[in-house]
Amino acid sequence: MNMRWYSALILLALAAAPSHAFTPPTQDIARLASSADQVVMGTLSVGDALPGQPRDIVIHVDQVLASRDGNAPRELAFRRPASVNTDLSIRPGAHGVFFLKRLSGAAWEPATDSLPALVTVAATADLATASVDERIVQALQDTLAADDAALNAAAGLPGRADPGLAEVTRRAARRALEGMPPGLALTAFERVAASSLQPARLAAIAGLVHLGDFSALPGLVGPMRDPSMPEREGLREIARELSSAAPVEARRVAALALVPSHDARIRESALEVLRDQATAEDAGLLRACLSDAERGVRFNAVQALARLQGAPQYGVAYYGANEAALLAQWREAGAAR
Amino acid sequence: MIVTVQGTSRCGVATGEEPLSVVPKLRVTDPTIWWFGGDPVDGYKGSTQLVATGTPGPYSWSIDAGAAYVEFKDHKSTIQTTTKKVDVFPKRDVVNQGDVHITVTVNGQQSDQITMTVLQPYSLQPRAPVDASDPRYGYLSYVYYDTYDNLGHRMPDIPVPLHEEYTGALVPDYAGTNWRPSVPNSSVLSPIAWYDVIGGEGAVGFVPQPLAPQTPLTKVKVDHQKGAWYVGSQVSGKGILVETMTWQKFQDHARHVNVVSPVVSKE
Repeated sequence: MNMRWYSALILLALAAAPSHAFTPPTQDIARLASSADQVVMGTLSVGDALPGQPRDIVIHVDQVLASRDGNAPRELAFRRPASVNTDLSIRPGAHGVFFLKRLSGAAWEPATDSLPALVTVAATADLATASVDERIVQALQDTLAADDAALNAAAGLPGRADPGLAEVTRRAARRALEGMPPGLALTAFERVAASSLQPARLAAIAGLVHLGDFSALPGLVGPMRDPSMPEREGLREIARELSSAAPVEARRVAALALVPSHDARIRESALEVLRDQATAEDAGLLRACLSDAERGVRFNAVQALARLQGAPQYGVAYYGANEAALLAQWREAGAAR
Repeated sequence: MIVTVQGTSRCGVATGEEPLSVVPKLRVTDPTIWWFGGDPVDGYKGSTQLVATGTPGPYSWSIDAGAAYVEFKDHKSTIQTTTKKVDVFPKRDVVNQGDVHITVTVNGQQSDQITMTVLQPYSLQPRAPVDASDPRYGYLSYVYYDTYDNLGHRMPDIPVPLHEEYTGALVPDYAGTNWRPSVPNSSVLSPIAWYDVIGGEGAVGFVPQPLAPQTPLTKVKVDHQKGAWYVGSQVSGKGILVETMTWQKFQDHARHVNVVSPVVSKE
């Protein structure tokens, strides 16, 4: 094949690729790590084909995290698989973790539909003797702790001061870390939670809450109640994670502390928790929430009161069609007690 | 009628003939099952089994309430079995928790009711969108969602198939625009904090030229297209419709607008 023509074809394919509405798949990192033939960290480039070796994606490897055959290639190249069906999932210059399967000989294919599977900053520690999980966790920890410039460079856009792209990368790192072995992930989140970089710190605390560690929450109750505080979305992310694996009483106490929040989204998250965790002694507070301005708060307060009385949970549609009657019913149920 | 069996030694004590309970008891392996509009989804209980105890069969099973929501095999709401087990499959989501009541009758004796619930993906609730610059498309906008079930709980963090469908043509808003239409997509993803990423358009030769997200964002509309989101299948026409909306592209960002979720209202 004429290589120049081939490159032009790739460019044409890129130009004609869909530019709209791509939904990325969820990655099961532990499964990928155990099933891949090669797990590497490196930088992706597109279209730099070599003579006699048609290929359109090259990974310039800076660390081999795991290798079934013990090889440590400096470069891995392969054709864009059909499953990678949009160029939105491939950003030339992106750095991260790649999970690869060997087809035959020196032929490889990625085990994921997006490349890299995880966008990460370059490793800051030499972890040559660590397990693949430990090395991935370290990469994710470094990424979570990174500032916007480093995150954008990792995503393939060096020199950009783009907080939006950085936030997308940070959220993805947090979600990936939440799926790693809890012992490793908790330690990583704890380290980043000590960061002075506020978006990184809040993301790490959200990760800790997700894994059931609420120790950082008391210091955030004030900001979470005050909608004028900055980093609003980071605080809301923490509130959303209250429905986590933590002990019931810890979740209940944390949610009760957030009910007075002036941020409707945070109140809503608190009531989502109380719907399932409130006890009889919270009934008065729940009845007060029946008059909340936010529909989601009222909905979950009704569900909590119903549960406490041993009544079935209402469907969303049924509640919507009967809200006024249900609010009156559960106010009266309280008054009659 | 008292049913008896030949007694055996129990803890070393001969018991002789003893009565068995004549009223069958029912237990269920899982009283909550999921409906995704057709095929079950890995990780979600797509059927359950009821087990009768207390007396030998044959067994007459009956869905006394909620036959609109569950069924036995061959789409039946009553079924006879010689074994003490029966499988229950979902047909659609319940209105309220516990709307399904099932009993078994053995030798004329009816068991107490087992109550069951059918859940399904029901609505999407947005998180704050994020806009990022992109050298290939000017921008990428990430529209985040959580998926909720019909009882208003966030769905568990177990991946589900999901797809988008276009329900209208691409409509230009900007005079002379040549931004291209795209193809509906699908994926398998966590129902928690998933996102739709929407790109602008190529940097060269397109009218208007896409921009990186501005501060504040522009109000220059480029085009829009109506669509819908389905959870439960990657195949067009399958799964549960959870949202109808319009993709609205602006020159420097994109949003889902005219959002309706949940879509179906039930009394």
